[in-house]
Amino acid sequence: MNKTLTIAQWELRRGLKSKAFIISVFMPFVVLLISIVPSLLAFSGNIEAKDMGIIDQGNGIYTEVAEHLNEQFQSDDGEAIYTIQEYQTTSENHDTLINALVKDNIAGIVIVIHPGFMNNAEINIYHDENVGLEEISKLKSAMRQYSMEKRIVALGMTKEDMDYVLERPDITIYEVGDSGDAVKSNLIVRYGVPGVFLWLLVMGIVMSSSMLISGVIEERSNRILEIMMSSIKPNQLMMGKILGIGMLGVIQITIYLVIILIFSLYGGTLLNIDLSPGDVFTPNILWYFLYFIMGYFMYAALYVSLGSLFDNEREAQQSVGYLSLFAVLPIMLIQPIIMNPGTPLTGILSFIPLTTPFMMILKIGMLSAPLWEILLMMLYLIAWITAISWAGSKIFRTTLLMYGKRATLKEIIQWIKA
Amino acid sequence: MLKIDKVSKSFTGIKAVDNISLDIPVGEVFGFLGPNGAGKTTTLRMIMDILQPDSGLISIDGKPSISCDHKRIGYLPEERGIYQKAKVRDVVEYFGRLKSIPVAEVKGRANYWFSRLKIEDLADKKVAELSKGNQQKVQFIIAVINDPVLMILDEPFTGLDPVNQKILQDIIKDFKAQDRTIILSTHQMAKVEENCDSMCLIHKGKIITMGKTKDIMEKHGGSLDKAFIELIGDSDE
Repeated sequence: MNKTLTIAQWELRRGLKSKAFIISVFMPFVVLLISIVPSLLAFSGNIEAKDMGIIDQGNGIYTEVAEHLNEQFQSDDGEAIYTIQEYQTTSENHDTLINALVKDNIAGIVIVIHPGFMNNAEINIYHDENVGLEEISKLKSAMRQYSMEKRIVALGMTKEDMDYVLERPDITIYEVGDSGDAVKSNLIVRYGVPGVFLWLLVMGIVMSSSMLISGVIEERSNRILEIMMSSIKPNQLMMGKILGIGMLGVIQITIYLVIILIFSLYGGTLLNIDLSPGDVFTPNILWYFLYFIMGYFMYAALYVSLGSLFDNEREAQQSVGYLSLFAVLPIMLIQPIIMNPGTPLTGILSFIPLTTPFMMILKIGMLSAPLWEILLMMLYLIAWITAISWAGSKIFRTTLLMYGKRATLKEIIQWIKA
Repeated sequence: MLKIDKVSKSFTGIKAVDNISLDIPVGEVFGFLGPNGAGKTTTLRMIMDILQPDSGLISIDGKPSISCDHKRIGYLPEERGIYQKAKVRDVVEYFGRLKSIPVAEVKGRANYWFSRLKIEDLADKKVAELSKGNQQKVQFIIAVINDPVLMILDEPFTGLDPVNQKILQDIIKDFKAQDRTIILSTHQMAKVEENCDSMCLIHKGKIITMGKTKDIMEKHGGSLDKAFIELIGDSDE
């Protein structure tokens, strides 16, 4: 046991000093930021001031539409964003005029209100390349609102009646758990937190995979294993490595938790969302923590076992890269799982050991998995980790001094059986 | 000290070691010679219990190798390699701890060997920064850090300049004077002539000759090189 701990300590120190570990700790957050910030910036709500043309084909509503748009589109200091100008077209010059207005930068946007608007509500919007998706979407909803208001008033209702009709209901969602208590549903707690943990576990494993495998490859290719084998047994070496690398996972998740705590303290104010540490640090966080560690241990055991089959890192990374696909699978399937949590897919993926830790994080958070299931699946995972380590040490013992020869699947099965 | 009794080992049908028997007494420097692929490294690995014999028995101090205390055996494998990114001192201390030596004691012993092999100023450098010869010295230190009573040195002189070869030879002489047993496997016949009391020559997994180094040299015109060529040549014919 002492030697196993010595190896674990060595692996842990080596891991902590490696650049790969530092990258694997911070990269998930960097990737998250890179994917969120541009979309936040894109929907910043800042629409550039520009000229707009309106062609009202005989409805007599130009002034109303212009006023409506000026009310809806204003800069922070209350100035109208669009400088609106009315244009008239004939059937002969209609297309050429619109094209010329946009092409010659006379108007960035041209709205054409078709004849009989009150009956058919037909509008065309023409724009140049500087107008983005967000602006178009806002324009569409502004014109939709104008059309709706116009029709309601035409039916003889007042503006007050209209507000009354269109008032959105205030809906609060409660979830009744096994205990029978109704609890107000919190999207951050139910989807956000497990989603973040799932993401961190996937990224943690994918990012660390090169570090996990390169340790064994270095020892094989530098023939260090031969010296080690004169002092220790293959299973001690294997267990020490898994333990050391697993401890790296514990340190990684602890750092993540600190970052999450800081974010939950200040992120709410920063992003203007309803978020407090109490939302994030629910009792479930303990299960996420444990499943993260077990997931990390399982992939460590797998990578260490498989690393011993290869002489060089390039070959190993190629083959082992496929394993990381399993880690990414739950992220790819997260949408159907959220939309329909009861899908058999959830159950199937929970029983594939490579996806169990990820699925359990999702199930605990999103489906309120019962305690017996959480504990049973933990035992299931521990059994798998033990089995992989045991089989791994069998492979390890045989492949240790086998250089330049690629093992076949048949041989690997024979070694495990031996 | 070391007894190898009718030991054989095959790999995928090819006999690497074929019914070898050896008896090496305490305090002897024993030359273990043979051409490439003769089965030397396989035999040494079996002594170290890295490989298990298919048949026969290896015993150290009367106990089967498999159950004996490897803490008192030092092994310098032919294949060289240590953690390149780690510091020399850390690597030596790590292997010392793997051989169950208390931390404080490992540090003392490491310092002694750094100074004896004249690499004390390199102890805090990364292994990758050392020359090949100096890396080999570090590996030698790893082999002796557990103060072994039985030492297995596979090609210990390769890659060392004459000055460092001399340092290593002096260490071997000191070990012998301290009644430690050394198995020296090398292709450098001069080193065997200088250092080994007795020797054996194996070829194709079998022992071709065994005895006092002097006697074998005398039989073959006073040179081990000649003995090697004659015996291996005869055996091939």
